Amino acid sequence: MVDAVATGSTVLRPRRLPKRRNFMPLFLLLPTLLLMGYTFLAPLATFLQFSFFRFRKGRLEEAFTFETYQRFLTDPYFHASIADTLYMAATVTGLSLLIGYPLAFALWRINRPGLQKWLGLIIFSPILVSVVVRSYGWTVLLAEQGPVNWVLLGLGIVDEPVRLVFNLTGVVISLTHIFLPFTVFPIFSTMVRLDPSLREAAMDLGAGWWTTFRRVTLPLTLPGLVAAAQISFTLALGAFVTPSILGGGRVLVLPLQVYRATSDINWPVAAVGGLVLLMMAFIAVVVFNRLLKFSEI
Amino acid sequence: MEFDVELENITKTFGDQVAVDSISFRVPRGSFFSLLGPSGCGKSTTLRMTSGFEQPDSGVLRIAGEDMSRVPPYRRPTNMVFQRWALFPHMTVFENVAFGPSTRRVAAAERRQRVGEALELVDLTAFVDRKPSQLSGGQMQRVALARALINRPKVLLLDEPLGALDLKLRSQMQLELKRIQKEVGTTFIYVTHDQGEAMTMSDQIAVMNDARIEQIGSPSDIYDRPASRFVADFIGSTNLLPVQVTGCSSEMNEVRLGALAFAVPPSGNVTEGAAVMSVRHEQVKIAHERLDLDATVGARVGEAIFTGSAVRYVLTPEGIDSEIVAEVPHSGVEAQFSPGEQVHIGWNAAAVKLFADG
Repeated sequence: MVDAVATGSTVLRPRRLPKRRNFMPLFLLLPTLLLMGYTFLAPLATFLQFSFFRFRKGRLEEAFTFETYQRFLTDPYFHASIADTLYMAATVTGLSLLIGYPLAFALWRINRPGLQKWLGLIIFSPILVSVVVRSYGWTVLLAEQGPVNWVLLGLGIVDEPVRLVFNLTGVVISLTHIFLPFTVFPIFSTMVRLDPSLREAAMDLGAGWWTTFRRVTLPLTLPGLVAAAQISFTLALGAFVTPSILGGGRVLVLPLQVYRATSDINWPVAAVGGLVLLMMAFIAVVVFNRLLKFSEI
Repeated sequence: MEFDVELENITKTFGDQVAVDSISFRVPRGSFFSLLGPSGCGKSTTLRMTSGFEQPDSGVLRIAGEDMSRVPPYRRPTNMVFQRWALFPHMTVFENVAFGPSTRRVAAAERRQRVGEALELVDLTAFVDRKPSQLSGGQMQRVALARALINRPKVLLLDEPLGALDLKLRSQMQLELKRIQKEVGTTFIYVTHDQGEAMTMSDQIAVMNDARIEQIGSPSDIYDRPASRFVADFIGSTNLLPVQVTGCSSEMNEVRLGALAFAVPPSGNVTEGAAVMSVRHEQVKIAHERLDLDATVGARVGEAIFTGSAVRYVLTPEGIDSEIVAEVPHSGVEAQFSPGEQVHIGWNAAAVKLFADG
């Protein structure tokens, strides 16, 4: 009956399916869009505007000039800062992968669920403690009279205390520790998703442990490795608390430059520094995404 | 006769679960041997012990006469075709097939030639540069087969390799597997839960149940002369009916099935008292008039089920508590018996197998 009525009515009108837009996803996105607009896009626009202002003799002039951009491009002081930031991020990323991959591998290969749970918790634990507390902890550990130097001296590896803190070394050590969970878990998750019969197939075809790892396990967990690198690199670019505490004022990476500029109300430098940082992060994301696409099957 | 695989009293437990319980069998060189049984019967574990992925707790396993207890999987003269084929997803068909020769340091020129031969054997030469994700299930199955056979193993192990294919392709691949096995002359050990598959391809079948081997024999052996109630029930379709054995002698067993009494040839370890008889569906004859058979009884047709090639009748016999199923080949004409009809059914004594109860 109902069908008959429905077809009857469509005879009168041209045959067209009722246009039904689904507004639900848009509605669900609204809070995010509002938040992003207010806390990210609007400040970004303001920053862009500030970046063209002029800062002279401790005073801000509302002009339109490329002066600050020029300084960033030509001043060796800013070049050093950018290079330091990149160097720090790259070292932290390299170290994180070097420590994170074997750790993820170990976590994956342990076939005792209890031990696996505890190891997972230990790797995860840095996230549970505030960055400030952790960084201060590292200053104590890495101090000249600290336990690390004590062990190195005691074992006779070094003759005099090594400077591990208030320089880039300390910052890199601490950041690597902080980012460890962010590198281990992406790698671990690709390992867990790996079909165990693939490794068996490799062994069945005559591959020993190393060949199996090199030709099957590593290539198939590469996407996790790239994702881990992307996360730790971009996080390291923007790291502020650790460099400021463990750098002891000597490590002037870009986020610290931006912070310093804002406290001097040197808005143009802060703005350009921020934008340079954003550009670097953006390029990093693009490059890593390219790598990711390449590493996936 | 030479044997490529010999298992002697092999036992394997996982925790307190006995997966394989002291099994022994020998596989003649160049034969197609199937391990058949329901899931969880230990057949896959047996195969994985042969390939070296699992270590037996006790017992001796020999391949081509050599003890394998200290030989790791990558040094055994076996290759495996995995359940879901386990092709390397990041490699092309060529790279997948060439994997085995490359780990064994076969020179590049010879490697290429052997890959060509292996792909020709499975009829896949046009697909060398494809990735596994660009292949159909049947093609992946062929790649897996080529990847294993290229190493010229003494024994090829197949772990339900056709399980993920659709029915039509499966029966096609069964014939193909048998052809390839004959062509290369390699010993095949084939694990399956599909009795039809095992019947079609095997020279010998070991029927496994509950971590043990119930029977080893040719397909017709295990079909016509099942050694146990389990085998009779698992292979083909049969009527299992509780009976009383009233007399045992070396020539005859007297059997009483409800009101029906008849004699059957002696079999196995049956003693007087409760027992189970098996008579296959197609061995139960059905007619309108009285049948001239060793055991006959009147019955009423309950249901007629058309299966395409046959019609299956569910019958309620007079004076017997259990239902009996009879299967009659479909001749193209209408079903000869309709539900509610009164008929005569019967079977010959030779068609009956007796098993101890329980």
